Amino acid sequence: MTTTSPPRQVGQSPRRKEDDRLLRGQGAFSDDINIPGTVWAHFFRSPHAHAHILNIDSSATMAHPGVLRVLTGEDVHPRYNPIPPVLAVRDAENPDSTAGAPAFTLIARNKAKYAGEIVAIVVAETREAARDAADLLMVDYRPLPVANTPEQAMGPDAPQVHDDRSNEQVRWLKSTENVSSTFEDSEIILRHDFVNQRIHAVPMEPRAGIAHWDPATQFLTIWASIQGAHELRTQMAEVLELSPDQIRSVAPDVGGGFGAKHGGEVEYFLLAIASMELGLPVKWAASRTEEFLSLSHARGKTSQFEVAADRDGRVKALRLRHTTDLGAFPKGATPIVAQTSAIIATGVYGIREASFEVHSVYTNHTPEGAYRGYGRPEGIYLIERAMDMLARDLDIDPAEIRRRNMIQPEEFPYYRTPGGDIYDSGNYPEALERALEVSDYEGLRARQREMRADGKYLGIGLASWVKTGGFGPSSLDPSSSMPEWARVKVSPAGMVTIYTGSSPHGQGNYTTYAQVAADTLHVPLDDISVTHGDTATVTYGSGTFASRNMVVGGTAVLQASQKVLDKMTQFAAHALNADSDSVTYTDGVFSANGSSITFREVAANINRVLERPPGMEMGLDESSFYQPTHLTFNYGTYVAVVEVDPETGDVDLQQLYCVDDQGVVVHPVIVEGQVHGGAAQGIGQALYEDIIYDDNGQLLSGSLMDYALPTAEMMPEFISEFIETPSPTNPLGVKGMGEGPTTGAPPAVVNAVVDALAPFNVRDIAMPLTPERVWRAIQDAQNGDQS
Amino acid sequence: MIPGAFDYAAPDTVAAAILLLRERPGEGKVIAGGQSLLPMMKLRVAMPGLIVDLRKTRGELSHISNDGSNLRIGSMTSHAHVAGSDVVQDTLPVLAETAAEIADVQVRNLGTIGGSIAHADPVADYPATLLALDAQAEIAGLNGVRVVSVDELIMDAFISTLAEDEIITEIVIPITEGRTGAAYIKFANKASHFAIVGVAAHVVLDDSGYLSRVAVGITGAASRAARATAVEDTLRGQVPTPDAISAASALAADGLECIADLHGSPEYRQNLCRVLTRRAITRAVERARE
Repeated sequence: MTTTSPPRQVGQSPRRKEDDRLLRGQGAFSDDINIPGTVWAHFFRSPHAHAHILNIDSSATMAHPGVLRVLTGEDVHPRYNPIPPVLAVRDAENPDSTAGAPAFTLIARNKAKYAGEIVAIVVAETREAARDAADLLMVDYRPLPVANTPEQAMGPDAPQVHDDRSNEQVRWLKSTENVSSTFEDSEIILRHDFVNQRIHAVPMEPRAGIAHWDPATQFLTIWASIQGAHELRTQMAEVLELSPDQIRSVAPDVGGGFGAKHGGEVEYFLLAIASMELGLPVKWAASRTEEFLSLSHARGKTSQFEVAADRDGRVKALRLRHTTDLGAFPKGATPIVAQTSAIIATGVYGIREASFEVHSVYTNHTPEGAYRGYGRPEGIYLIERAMDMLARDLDIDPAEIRRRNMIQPEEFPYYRTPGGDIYDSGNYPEALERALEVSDYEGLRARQREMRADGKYLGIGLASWVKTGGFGPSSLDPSSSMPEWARVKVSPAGMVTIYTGSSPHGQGNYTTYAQVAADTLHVPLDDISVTHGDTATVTYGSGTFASRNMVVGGTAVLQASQKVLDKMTQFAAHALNADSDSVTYTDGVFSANGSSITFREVAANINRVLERPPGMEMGLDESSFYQPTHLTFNYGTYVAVVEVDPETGDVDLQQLYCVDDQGVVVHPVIVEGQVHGGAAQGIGQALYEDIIYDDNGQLLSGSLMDYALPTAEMMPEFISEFIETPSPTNPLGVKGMGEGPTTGAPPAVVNAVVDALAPFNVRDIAMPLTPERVWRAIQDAQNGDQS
Repeated sequence: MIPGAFDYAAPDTVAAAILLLRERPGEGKVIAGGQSLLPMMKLRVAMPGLIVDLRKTRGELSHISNDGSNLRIGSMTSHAHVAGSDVVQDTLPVLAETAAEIADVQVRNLGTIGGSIAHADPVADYPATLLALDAQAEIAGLNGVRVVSVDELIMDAFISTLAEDEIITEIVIPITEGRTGAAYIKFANKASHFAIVGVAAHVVLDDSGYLSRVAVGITGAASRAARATAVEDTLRGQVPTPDAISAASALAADGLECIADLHGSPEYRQNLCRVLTRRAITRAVERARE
């Protein structure tokens, strides 16, 4: 068969199919789901970061009008399982063994391990009664010393977070052979300590859920604000000791996840338990403060970084000691995030020798979890800051030092890094040169010189970065390959429904999956709908995370669409008295031997027994799994332009020029939107956001009055351009891209601020670059204290 | 975020509101927009037993007028109303400039000048400007009306000299004639958009170009807004050259016990006091010369 396509949908930017109802406020989020007879849960949380729980007196709470039940650890622990860790964690000293992480306890029993850990669940007839009654709960605590930083937690006599294991969950070493000798032979060695501060994803929709156990049918339905319905079902079955077949899990409209909503949250299991205990639907909707205390944080890492180079700025080797603050429990695969974070520290450069030492440590902090970038932004931050430091030390332009070190286009496809990542494809120098051109880099430098003469401080910051996507198999754990599934069904009326296991919550896949199917099936986008996020209608789903939707989910849609087309072609061949090979498909019409049949005619007639070829079943309903064999690596170069007020330390981020290569771009406007959104979150980390604990492990920046989430007025002008190197890993040629901008923006912005302050001899400022930190850096540099 | 249970009343008159407050000593709280009170109640930092809502007294308490020598602003006048008022723009534009800096559009539409002052938030914007302008407050109580300066009304962080059955009814601000200029400059906390430090300056130049009046109000820096008297005393009677303004502004933090929080240490706030005072006076003088 040959096909001639109508104008391809992939590469166009049709209006997003999902926006109309969401913009009109007609979405249905978890808190919008109402079942008659629903009661409300309130989670009573530990005010202490680390404390023995001596006694819980719930008599006054139970006496409050409307209260139905108080559940504590004593009620939950004997009867339900904790959340098992999703990945075995390797121990470098016993590389063949799997030193498993501790399970994620649903609710504290005997001891609370972070401020915000759930101590009791109050269930009442109304939300207000549950909240009021929680104030009457009497809990006696004996506070314990707090493991408050990873460094302290690894030290001698540190308070132990888990009684049965040391605080250090992972100590992992990896090195190429000649790191030490390369350092010994190098003329230039740069050493610096960096911090990637803890931050919080702050999805616009706080978590909410409603669990409904039906005692008559022994069946549980749960609606929850999560990134993957199937993963929740799997975990739910293990925790509740039910068969997955007894559970329907639904992710309805979800108002952003950014990784923080990846994987089951303890609250959802506790809602299910409360529902099973009471035989009633039980609902909960988090407050923003509750989200800061208990929805996972991310990024918290400290790094000792060393780079060996020659006098021309060619980097020969690096050494990294990378320490991460896991918080009190491992959420998902967090114990190994620091490993993927460390190994990307060679960045876009052909650095051949590298050693990595990784420590993942429990503390009495809110557990860390995934957040847009999953460790990679922290690793890229190190090399991109170091490149600028090296450039200044050697008096080489920051663009030139990057040019000298970049992996060259002819080293692709499948460039293997010292850390074991396999970069699929790219042209890194092209992205750099294009960014310099788009930003008029030379012109900016000229303007910087003029402004400095007038006592104004313009700064220009570059970051060349690379980021994993399309998860997928991991270099660290090839066995963890996650396929994705899609089903494409054509109704007798010719309407197409796509079912996908990677459900969108802002990514635009209602539109982009439809574009992929439209290019195969030649149907208008209006005739295609997308169904997702419900285990009752979707057979399988790995979920939405790790920049994988278009790469893995999109390819599954392509494959399933192709299967449908193949069957339609066979039917058409029969109808047209031709061989399948001689049938052409053009603009929705199958032709052979001078006659033709339309897509809609095939869709209708395939259900008529007398019209089908012998042996062909009725209906058009095909599904497909796609199992990726490689990750994709999107990359780019960003240029940030700032002006700094040295008297106040205020940073005015004026422009961010973004040149991205994410392979084939399916929907340019959506992709540009992802660049803006991801960069906004990266800018937040660079300049504003900070999870701050006091000495007792109390969260100080636990509200949006103290945690500076950037708003639109704090955004720069974005100038976004794409270059396109198709990925060889998948038939669409796409690369994951959503996490790239959070990776590129932080070092670009920080490099720009430090560049602006070069006349003051400021060498580094720790993120976030708050006005006071910038002002202090200037004061310290002028007083001769080199940071 | 659910507040504790409370009773609610929305009386039609100030007098009725005062009586309600009188009936429930220790329990009542006036709500005059609620842009600070409601978040505190949702966090259960404040748990009043009775809310007395002044929204039905807007006819009585929401107005802006010029009586010839004073600008008179009713206590229930919203920040948005002040920011957009022609009367304010013609008489004391710095007040509109200040109101426009408060929070965001939603807060400015509901928050009121009387509510802001009564709340005595040390990082609120209005107090800096009202102190610099020598504003007074009219306060209604069971025994009639009393008048105090805003300076006397605000005691300390979240503490005013209002009795619990008193209600601010009007803010009265003297209008200065002649070559006068004023400016409010705020350096905002990036999270809350409250002032880390905000400085209002008000100047009058005599015919020879000397400063016959200079008044500087600073908010955010300490536990309450205050006048920078050392700066004023140094500059008064001087020609406001850049050097003179700089030298005087260096004294801006003198006598202030600057606070520390996540958004600024005392040293940083002292620096902002000096920098913003210089910039505010400079801008006020430019405006006086226009």
